[in-house]
Amino acid sequence: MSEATAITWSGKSEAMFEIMLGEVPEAMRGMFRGKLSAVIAQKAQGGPAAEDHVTAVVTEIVPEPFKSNILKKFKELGDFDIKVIDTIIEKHGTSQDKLMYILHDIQDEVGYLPVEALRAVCNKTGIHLSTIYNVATFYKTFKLTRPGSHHVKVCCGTACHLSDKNGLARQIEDKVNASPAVSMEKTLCMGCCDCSPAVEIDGRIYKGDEAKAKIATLA
Amino acid sequence: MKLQTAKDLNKAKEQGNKTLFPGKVRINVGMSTCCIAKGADMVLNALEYGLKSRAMDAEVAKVGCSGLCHMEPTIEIQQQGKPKIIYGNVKDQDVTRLLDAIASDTVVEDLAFARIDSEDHALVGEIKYQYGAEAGAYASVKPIGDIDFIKAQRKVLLRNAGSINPENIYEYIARGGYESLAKALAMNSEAIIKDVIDSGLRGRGGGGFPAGLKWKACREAAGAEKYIICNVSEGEPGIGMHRSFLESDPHSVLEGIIIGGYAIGASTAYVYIRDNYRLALKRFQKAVDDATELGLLGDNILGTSFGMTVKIKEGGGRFVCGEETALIACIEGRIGEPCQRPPFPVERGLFGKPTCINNVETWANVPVILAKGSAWFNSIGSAKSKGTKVLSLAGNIARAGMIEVAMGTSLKDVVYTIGGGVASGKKLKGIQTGGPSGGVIPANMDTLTVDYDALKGAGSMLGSGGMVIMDEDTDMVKVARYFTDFFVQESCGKCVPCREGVCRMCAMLDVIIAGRGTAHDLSLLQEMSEPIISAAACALGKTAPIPVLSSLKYFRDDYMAYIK
Repeated sequence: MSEATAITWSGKSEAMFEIMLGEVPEAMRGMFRGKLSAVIAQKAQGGPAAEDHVTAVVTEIVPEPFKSNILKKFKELGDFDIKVIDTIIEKHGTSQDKLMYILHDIQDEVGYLPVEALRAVCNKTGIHLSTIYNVATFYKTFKLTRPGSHHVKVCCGTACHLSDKNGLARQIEDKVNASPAVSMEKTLCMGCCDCSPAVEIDGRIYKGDEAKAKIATLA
Repeated sequence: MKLQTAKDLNKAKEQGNKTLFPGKVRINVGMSTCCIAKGADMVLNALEYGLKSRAMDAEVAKVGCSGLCHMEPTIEIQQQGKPKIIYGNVKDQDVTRLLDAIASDTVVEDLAFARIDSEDHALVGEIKYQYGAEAGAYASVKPIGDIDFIKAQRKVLLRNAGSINPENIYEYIARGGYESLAKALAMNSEAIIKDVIDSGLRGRGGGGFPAGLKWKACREAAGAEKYIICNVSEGEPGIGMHRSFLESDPHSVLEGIIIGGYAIGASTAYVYIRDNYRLALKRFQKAVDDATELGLLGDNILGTSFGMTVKIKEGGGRFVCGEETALIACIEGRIGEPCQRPPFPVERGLFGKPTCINNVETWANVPVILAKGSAWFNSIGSAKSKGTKVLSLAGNIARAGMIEVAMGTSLKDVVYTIGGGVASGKKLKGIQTGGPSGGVIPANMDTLTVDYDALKGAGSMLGSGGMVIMDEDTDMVKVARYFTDFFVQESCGKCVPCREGVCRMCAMLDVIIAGRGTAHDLSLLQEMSEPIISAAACALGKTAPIPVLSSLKYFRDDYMAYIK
């Protein structure tokens, strides 16, 4: 990783660079990293590498079908600043016992764990991508897809399950499926059994019918 | 301010008393997650606005949950020299009336729940609120001692919950906090461990293993570096008291951990907090920061050579992480798969070093034992279960919430006297104890007591203290299916008996519920449970068939109704 030419990145250029490298077979990635960063550094002419520079490298150098794959991924690229990952890793360190702290912080910052963020964590900490993916998918708290602008958590604890006689969870699910701006997840007991059936909407817990009323206002 | 010696605690105490008894009105607003869910933050806003617009001078404290979850939002108003009044079901529009009452020295009778003339605090003894003998204008409010709901409880661990500001370390110190730590640091570690063993304290996480013996084994384990873990991973559905507890009195847990670290010889502790408990995490982090600033954590605690750091680990929302080896894996940054035991964590645990894992409630008991002595602790409770137990009442019950009773209290008292009986007014069918790993105790066995061995004997367990009350309309087959499905979802998938066996059991329950089951299926369910219990690697798998087994034992009629 250290053989890469030191580049200052601007905008999403670094995330785009990582996506580009992600298409390269793992064994050759180190070599390509060095070569491609040299090309980009050259294009940037001492200044910060911009998003256009990376796109240019992809269109000029990368062969099909990788080229269209990468360009497609550029379009899907999350609108987050990859620099937050540097700050987060700097704060926690790079050993594996810090991995969950890093992922939690990224999720707090970005809202979910975009795959390019996981790649960046891999490159910066040296933890295998498979390990990171293993952890990020095992723990239910980590989200790999972007949640809606409103997020609803439905408690599936015993008390809430038993007191939900009117199928509130189902109704909420239907409602949420109908509106793309709202996402939902079912969680373990939220520890608010006296508010059962408990539903958390954007960080605040509501009880049964109140939740239903609140959700109606979201869509 | 750094506290250099044990005597410096007195200075901190004075500072705490300045806000606890501010010489003006003190208003405690319950602001834990359960209170906020019912609108306590709106009440607080209205209160602050009201005070400002009237230019009234008052100390407003955001306190934790006082255990009156059934009548939240709650407010306590304490005027100098007058009884403290607890108001329940306060709405933001009631605030004007409450402020009027303060100004005119009267009571809002329809909201007043109880008055406290003086309280008997477990550590500092009597705290007097009212100086004179006459209650005066407050006489119409029932004294708290006359209320059965309160009388049947015994508040030892919850001594501060709802009356001190959890984010103010000085208030905790003013209520006898960190004195046990000072006392412990003057003792040798063997004496502390002996105290804990003599007290009869058993692990509050579920198994009920004697805490002192665990400490001793960890102390004696080879290796210079040792760790302490505090487990707040109650993934069990139907339980909220650990969240409440950390939100209401985080320092009592922290003090227990520091004492444990000194006794065991560990200089690092990890506190594993579930990801859903954001407020608890925030408050505990504040507690750790404050304690570090006062010199109660970090190097040279209270001027001694002992030093300790406490790190907080946020969990990932998996039930299996409550199992100790899975918990260790999670802290190490791996996925929470349990490992074979032995070696037990006390020999080889976190990062391969001896590790003492106890549940949050177990740690909170430690300062009490040190302060009051093992004999005092030993005198509370039943023959083999000592001390008090925090329980969480939930489900179909009139007064759901967090309560604390002495061990040995009967389930009948818990459900009827404290819980107020079944909320729907129907007959009680069963009490589910110990989370999904426990079983449902049928209504006719409500003379059983809150006791590790009594509940285990009945085929359930005390677990970490969750009780879910079910009325006669509850379909036990569906309940068993709910729990079995829970285990299917939460199985880590490492060993076959749990991954496959429990999944099969769930499928069979589906067949029965669909009306296609036969009597043979019931015996098959029973038969299948045996290899799962004996062959699963961890406690999650071993206890997964219990909901089915216990419902088959006590509620066979429910199954027969499906089979016909």
